[in-house]
Amino acid sequence: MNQSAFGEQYKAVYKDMYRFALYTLGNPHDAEDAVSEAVVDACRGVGKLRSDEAFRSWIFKILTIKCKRKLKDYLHKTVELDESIEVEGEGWNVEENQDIRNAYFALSHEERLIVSMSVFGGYNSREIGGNLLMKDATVRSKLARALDKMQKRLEAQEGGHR
Amino acid sequence: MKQEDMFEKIKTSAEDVPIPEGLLPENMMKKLPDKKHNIPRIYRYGGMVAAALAIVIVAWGAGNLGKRTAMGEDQIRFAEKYSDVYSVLAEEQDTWSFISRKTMSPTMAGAEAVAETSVGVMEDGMAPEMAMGAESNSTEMAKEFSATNTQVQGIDEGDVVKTDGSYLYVMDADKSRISLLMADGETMEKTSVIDINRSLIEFYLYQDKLMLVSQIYGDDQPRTYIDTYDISDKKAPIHIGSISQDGYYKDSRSSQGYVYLFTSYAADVTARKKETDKYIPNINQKPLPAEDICIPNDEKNYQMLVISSVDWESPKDVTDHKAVLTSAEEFYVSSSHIYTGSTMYDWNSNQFDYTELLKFSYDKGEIAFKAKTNVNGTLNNQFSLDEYKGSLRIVSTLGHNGGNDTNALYIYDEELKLTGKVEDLAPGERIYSARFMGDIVYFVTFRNMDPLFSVDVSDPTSPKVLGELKITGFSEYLHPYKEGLMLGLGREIDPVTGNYKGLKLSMFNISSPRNVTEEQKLVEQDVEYSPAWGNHKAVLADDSRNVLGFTVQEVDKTTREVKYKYVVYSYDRERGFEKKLDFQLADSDMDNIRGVYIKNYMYVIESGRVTSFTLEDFTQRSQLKY
Repeated sequence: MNQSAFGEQYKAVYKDMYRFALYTLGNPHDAEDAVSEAVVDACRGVGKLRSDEAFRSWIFKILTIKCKRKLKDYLHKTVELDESIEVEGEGWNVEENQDIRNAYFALSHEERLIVSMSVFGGYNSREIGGNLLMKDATVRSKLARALDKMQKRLEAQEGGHR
Repeated sequence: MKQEDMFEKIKTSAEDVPIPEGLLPENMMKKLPDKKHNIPRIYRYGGMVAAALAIVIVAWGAGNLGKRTAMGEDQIRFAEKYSDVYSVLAEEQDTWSFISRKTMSPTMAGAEAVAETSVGVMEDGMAPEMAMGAESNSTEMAKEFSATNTQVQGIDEGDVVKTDGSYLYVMDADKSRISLLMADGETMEKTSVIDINRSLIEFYLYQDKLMLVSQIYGDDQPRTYIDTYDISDKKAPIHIGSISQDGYYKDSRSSQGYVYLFTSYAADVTARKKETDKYIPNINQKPLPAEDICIPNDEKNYQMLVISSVDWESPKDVTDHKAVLTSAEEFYVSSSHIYTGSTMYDWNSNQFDYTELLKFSYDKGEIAFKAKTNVNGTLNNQFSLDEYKGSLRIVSTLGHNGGNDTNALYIYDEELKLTGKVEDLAPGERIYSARFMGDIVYFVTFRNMDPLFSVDVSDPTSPKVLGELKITGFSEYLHPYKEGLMLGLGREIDPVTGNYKGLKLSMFNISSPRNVTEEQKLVEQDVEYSPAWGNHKAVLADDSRNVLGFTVQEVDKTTREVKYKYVVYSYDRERGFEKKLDFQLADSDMDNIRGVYIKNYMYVIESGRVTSFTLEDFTQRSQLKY
């Protein structure tokens, strides 16, 4: 794949890559770094990538590694976290979306990683298990629990709005 | 609400998130062509990440008794056939936990009967470890030329520049070529180029041969290659061998005439049993035999570490190969053993993550599994491990969920049984650097102040903390420097505000480990980043010539101009650190810039350009654009 083909492929996935990283890490700067690092790594090794379909899962695999590495840093508290991800920008403050985001960022790091791998990465529980060294049954139950937590929080918020 | 609905909501909530401009395709593509764009690298190296090693060995040994007693057998088994590997990958998880917890059978449910084989698991007769590593760096004899800055003396690590004292071997910025440059200080000349049609990672030099490590990313599985060239004729290198091994490149070493290659192979967990090509790695295009695949008995890993050895004298073949189901992030190779550490997250435990530690012996290319244990906490980097007189010493950081990190030192015997430990050191901090120097280990933890710990490890059953020196900032790399001195390279941090204040050089007087002092220090406020913080191979530290060189990124606080420089310091016990060279680079690919000396000249090697200086007073002598 040449550079321009790479560019085309990147164009198709970069938004989801950033969303994935942001929703996993909760920090816009780290998310941007993670995506940049993943793209550079991908570009370095892109020579032999053939099918279009594989690009997405391949680059997300690299991105997942980058995000996991940053999460490790967070675990060891080398990085100050801004969990609120309040970024300036148009359309950023639609209320329902903010409610969802609040509920989402109330999840633990692990839950966020699992949910964002499902939502943005399009991984199934077995693939997530393979990446996170978890049984896929565990992934499924953690995912269900995380979504349930969000649901409860959203209901509470809705109560609050009324 | 159904899962899909919630997924949809989350997805929608993300749609209005502004995407940073730097990631827009047009901007991203602009950064890529020369592959030199600078990502913030501060936390890039795995090395910053502490890894925890848990002594789960106790709990685990108890649950795993059965009839078998030999410890290697309890820990790991070799596959007899591929279905043994498959059974680990594809195990129904409920059955898995039933089997492994209730019956303690070494076999997995669903696997065809696996004989309790442990061929060659414990081989005796390993020579006791020679003193090695750090302390050997001190030598009063001036060396002819510098070598890659390695952890252990005599065990080479691959790098992007090597020298044999008359030629420089340099990997180009686009990572597809090695240039052979004749260098005698006053003149330099390019004699030939080795072109390889793959993405180079690093290379080795041994006698009159080069081994090039390269990689391709296939659509589902990356593959790593070692290509060997005979360079006795510097004008015409000859390709004399090539081997390939499936998996991402992880690390490698060259020791006693063999190169050991470590790659990480991701088995496809969705593969069907018949599709062995999806979960068994190839070496030299041939699937690895089942009996060379080790399966730790408590394994929950879908990644396979593949290790092979290549004889410098016979570079077309792989001398030996093994694979283990483990992820392996850190590699430490002593003069007779390979240790791999894998950070494991135990979501069930609020206590701490742990490191799965595996030990292999190696001898003339033969690789044999020796032992396994789980160690509390996580490793900072390869310098967190050290083998000495048969003992393995480890420093680790233990993350406690919702609590304070703590740090520990563990000592293991040859079978990786714990013999001694010190725990609960520096609560709230984590390890940033470590250096083992024979009977004493020094390590740095940090939050706002930098305690440099010295611990007496001469008695493997009872390590003792000797001293704790508190200074500002912290060292990310420790290097023995002349008798009784140790260099610390890191960052200065304001102890009150916690803000970064510049690159810091410290010289510690360690002649009395009980009473370590910071003899001299220097803070370079303009320095924003140095690869020396995270990559020991980017550091030239040589006490025989009294030179300390590395690359820095500086920001002029008045003009806000960014500069990339190669700097060299010398050290004087009275006058402290003195800057000898401040050379502005044309290249911003800082991680791949190296300083090398040959006889009385210093060479700064960046992509496309080599500049020579006299070692005596660092006046520039010549420059070659290659």
